Amino acid sequence: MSQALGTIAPGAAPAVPRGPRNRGVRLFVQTLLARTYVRVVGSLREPTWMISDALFPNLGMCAFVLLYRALKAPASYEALALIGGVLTTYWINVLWGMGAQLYWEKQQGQLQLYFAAPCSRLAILTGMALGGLVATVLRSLVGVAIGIWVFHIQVAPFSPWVLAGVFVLTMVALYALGMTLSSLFLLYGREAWHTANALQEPVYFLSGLYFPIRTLGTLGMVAAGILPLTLGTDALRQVLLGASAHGLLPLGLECLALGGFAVLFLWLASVSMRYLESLSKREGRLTQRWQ
Amino acid sequence: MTGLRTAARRARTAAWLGWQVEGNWADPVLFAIYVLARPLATALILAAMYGAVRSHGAPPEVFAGFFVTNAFHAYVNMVLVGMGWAVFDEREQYETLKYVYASPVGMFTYLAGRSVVKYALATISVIATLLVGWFALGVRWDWAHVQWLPLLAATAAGLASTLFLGLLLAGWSLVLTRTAMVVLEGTTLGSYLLCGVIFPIDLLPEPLRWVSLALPFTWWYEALRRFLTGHGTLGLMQRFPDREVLLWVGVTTIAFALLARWGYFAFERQARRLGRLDQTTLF
Amino acid sequence: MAPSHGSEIPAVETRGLKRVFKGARGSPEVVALAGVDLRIERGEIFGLLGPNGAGKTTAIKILNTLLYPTSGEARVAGHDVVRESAEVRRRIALVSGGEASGYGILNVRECLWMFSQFYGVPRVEANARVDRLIATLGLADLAKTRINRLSTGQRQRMNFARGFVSDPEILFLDEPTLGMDVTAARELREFVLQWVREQPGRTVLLTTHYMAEADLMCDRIAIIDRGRTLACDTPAALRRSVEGGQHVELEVLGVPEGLADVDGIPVTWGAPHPERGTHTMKLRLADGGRLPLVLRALDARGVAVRGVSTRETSLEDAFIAIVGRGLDDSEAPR
Repeated sequence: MSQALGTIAPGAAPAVPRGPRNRGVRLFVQTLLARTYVRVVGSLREPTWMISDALFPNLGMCAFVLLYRALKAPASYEALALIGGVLTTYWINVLWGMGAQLYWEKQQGQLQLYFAAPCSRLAILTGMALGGLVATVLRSLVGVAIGIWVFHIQVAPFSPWVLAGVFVLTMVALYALGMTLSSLFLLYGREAWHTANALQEPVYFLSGLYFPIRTLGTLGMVAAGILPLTLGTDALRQVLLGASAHGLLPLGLECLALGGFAVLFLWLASVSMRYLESLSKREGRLTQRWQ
Repeated sequence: MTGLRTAARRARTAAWLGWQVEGNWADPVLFAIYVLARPLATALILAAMYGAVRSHGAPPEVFAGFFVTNAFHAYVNMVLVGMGWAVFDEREQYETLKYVYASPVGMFTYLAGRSVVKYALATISVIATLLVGWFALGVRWDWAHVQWLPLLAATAAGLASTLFLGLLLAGWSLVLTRTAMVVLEGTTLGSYLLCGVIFPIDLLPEPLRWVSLALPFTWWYEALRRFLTGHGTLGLMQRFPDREVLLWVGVTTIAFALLARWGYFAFERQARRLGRLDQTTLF
Repeated sequence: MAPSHGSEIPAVETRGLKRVFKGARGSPEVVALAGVDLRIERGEIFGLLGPNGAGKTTAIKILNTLLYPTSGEARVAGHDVVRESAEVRRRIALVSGGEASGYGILNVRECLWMFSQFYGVPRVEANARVDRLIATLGLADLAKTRINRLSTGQRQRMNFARGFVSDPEILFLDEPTLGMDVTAARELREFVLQWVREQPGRTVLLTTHYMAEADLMCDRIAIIDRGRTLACDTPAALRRSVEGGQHVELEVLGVPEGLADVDGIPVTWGAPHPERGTHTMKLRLADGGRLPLVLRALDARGVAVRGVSTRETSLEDAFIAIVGRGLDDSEAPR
């Protein structure tokens, strides 16, 4: 061809008459709701899966509660382990329901359909996060029920509003981290899956899910500065257990830090998604299966 | 003789495949981190939990016993549950199960071969965890008091029982759809709860105590505590003398060997009836 | 509807499109596209034919904004696929053959609705269009069936419907009838032809292995091999380019190793017949009178001829003449 490729003037009418298409915020919301629907339906349509998905993960929590009993720890430590156990369900959802989900989508050939569509990737991830929360809330309620009725664990009087506020802040920060992790899976295949697998228990440790994070000393402080789950766990324990939580930092400070995490990871998710999408397209890895 | 040689060759090929699938996806450093991260993290969680309550009078030898059994539980996680995952991945992800099944290799031989690398990885994990415990966390015992013969006998039986139960779980995975993922995860956690890994089984409700006593791992872990660290669990297990602990390791292992043989083939027949062998159910 | 030409913005345009994949762990790099120039007009059904590894799917991925080109330019509906990818995605849809994708837990209707949402189709229009597609593509009985209970062919049909749910300007069909039975494939082809005729300017880029499908459906075809465009014209013109003479197929026995020509006439090889121990030798003779000479030459080499057939020039003949081998041709017997 001897002439430049034809370009289209901005604002020009489409060549093929079609009905109106939503764009911008409307498309974002449409995409988010559609993807949330898939997640919710997936969680609710398999009753046996719901039961086992809610029950089995709480078994680990039971083991750690019983370990505290075997070590003759004060009752507040059992409550500590219960709260941590409940929060593991959210970390598992972030790792597997978000991060690794894109890996499965890629393996299945679904990922390329998302990326060929005009919708926002963040809308898809946010939909996954919201939908995943439905199943995860169920799991965590089962954990709470086990703690109260089986182990007779008690907590201190607390304000439901403060609890809800701290919980929401923790979830936003955590799931924003999950969205950032998701973008890694655009580029990597099996390595990313194995990395997610390897991250499960180390994060439990660094987040102090089953013990006061203060026990780790300086390492605990460093972990709190990196992982929203560390601060979120500590903050929730302070709300529910008061001084027995052996909190790391004052509650107000931890909430402020969680807010900062939320903003940081949301921004990072957006940036990393764009960058890694571009990189994976350059290297041809976006549609590569069985890496 | 020819049959044995053929089976050995097939098992060797399966072991090679197991290495390719489990190990050949990253450079050695990254791979080592992956293999060791989870078991070491669990060990560190236990250590941190103990450290948090030590001032309340928790006895150190109790912790040492549970630390050791937690380390050895890697065999259950990697071998027993790993064999179920191997079947699941082969059917759902790689879609090669139907070809393996239709070949003359024999699923028992194939799965046993695939388990070799899992045993190797679990052994690395156990050694690394015990070394971290010894040098970094003060989990120590007197080597002079280790009773080697019963320890080795119990460990051999324990390792065999992981293979047998792994075969049973693999058979069950053939029948299950994608719920196999949750069942396999549940088995990991359920075994943690039921086998007295990190707490005495006395703390379980009575019906679960009976389930616990029926599992070979419960007896194996008690044997590890007694014959390696020199301190058995107080409470219910204290009533059993050393010889009886060894006896029950053997009896339960044999029982599960028979159960695995019968159970695996029953599951396999059911899977063929349901058409599961070449069915992908993940999506 | 005849495709539009001239000064209008084409549906797809590429210039010097190149894509190189880095080799993994010391293996050499792979040049998937070595500089492809294409111009697809609005309203065309344009075919991309080529053997495996020719670069067809790579080209489709670039045009669908799933892959960046290494160099060169590509525009879809006038928008650059790299710098204006969002605008491109609003106008396209992709259907890949042999796909097993889909959330098993959703039913057919839900899956199609979900994708309509990803393309910003307003709710009322989306529901109406999904209903219409389900009815037209024979999915009415399966609308409430979960995807994990569909057969492979049914899934493929659903994925095919997904490509139309957003009513794209440009539709990319990457081997859409792969693995489908004859009747289903024919119905889908009819659907595509009808869809293009319904609305001026709707464009389809089709890659296929089935010569007959390309011949039937495509206004123009580009033949691509080893990442380069070797020819681009209407099916009739491509056939005419190799017309003349006679296409002969000989069933032969006792072929010398690596035989590539007979009496200076190049040969290609079809599938062998192991039950008879023979091979199929294909030649194009400029003049039908040369056949006895060919037979004599084969006899002199000790090659026995068990059968002879002749036929009209087909698209496959054009393909072989241009590429030098068929899509499914075997190597010369060893």
